[in-house]
Amino acid sequence: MALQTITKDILTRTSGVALLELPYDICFIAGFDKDMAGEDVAARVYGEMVMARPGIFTGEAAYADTAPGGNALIIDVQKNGSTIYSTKPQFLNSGTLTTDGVFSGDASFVAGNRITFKIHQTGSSTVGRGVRFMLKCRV
Amino acid sequence: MALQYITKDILTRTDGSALLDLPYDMSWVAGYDKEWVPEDFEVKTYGQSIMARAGEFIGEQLFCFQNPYGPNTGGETPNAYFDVEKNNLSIYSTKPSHGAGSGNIEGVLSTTTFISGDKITFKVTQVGTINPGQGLVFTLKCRV
Repeated sequence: MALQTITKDILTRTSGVALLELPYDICFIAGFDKDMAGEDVAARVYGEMVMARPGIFTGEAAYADTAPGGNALIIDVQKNGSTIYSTKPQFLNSGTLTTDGVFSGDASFVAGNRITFKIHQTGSSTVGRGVRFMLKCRV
Repeated sequence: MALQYITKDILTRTDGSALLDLPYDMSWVAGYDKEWVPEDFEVKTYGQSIMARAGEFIGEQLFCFQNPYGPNTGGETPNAYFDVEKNNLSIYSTKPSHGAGSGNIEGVLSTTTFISGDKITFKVTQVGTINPGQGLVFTLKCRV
């Protein structure tokens, strides 16, 4: 980064509005019981939060202890009730994502945006279990 | 910021003490059941944390899935209040609040700094008397 840029007030972050490409990853889980033992995921919400500063979604990483079979296990993340994906991330016969998510047009967020993590589809012949999901963001 | 200062070891962060204005936000929820369906929140503690490095509180963002009502139904006065404590003392002189008529009202911080080892508590201190609010998401903005 050029010194001109460093010295151009970008370290003044009192308003939290500067986008400095800093990591702001958010972790969610689904398909664990109260003792953190794996259990079948259900098609429902598994996490909610509110963003405290503006930024950009950049991708995701995910892992399922039990890979779904039959149909895919599909994950969704919503911003203020609408999906952020044009193609939702999904597992099929694998514990790692077989299809990465593709963000729909606007991959940005602002302070106050409500973020919802949900399982959109569970798998069929085998229902997925023990899903860890990390939403990669930067601010 | 002077370049001399930028180059004077402030990027050496092994002990976690340098304040570089990096985001260190933390999120809590209140008023959700075990399947993430919104339910009435209560006056109680909903989260605890311990700080792992030194930094500053900046503010907060919050959202209520369902507005609390009463005693000031639809009025300008907020109905639910929230608090964050550092070592059991509120960090606010005016607690953040929410109401059907007032919307979100930002808290006014009276304590702005924390150090490694400080215990942080998130709690709901008032819920609305006619209908308690439901489905609260709360993010405390911090920097380190």
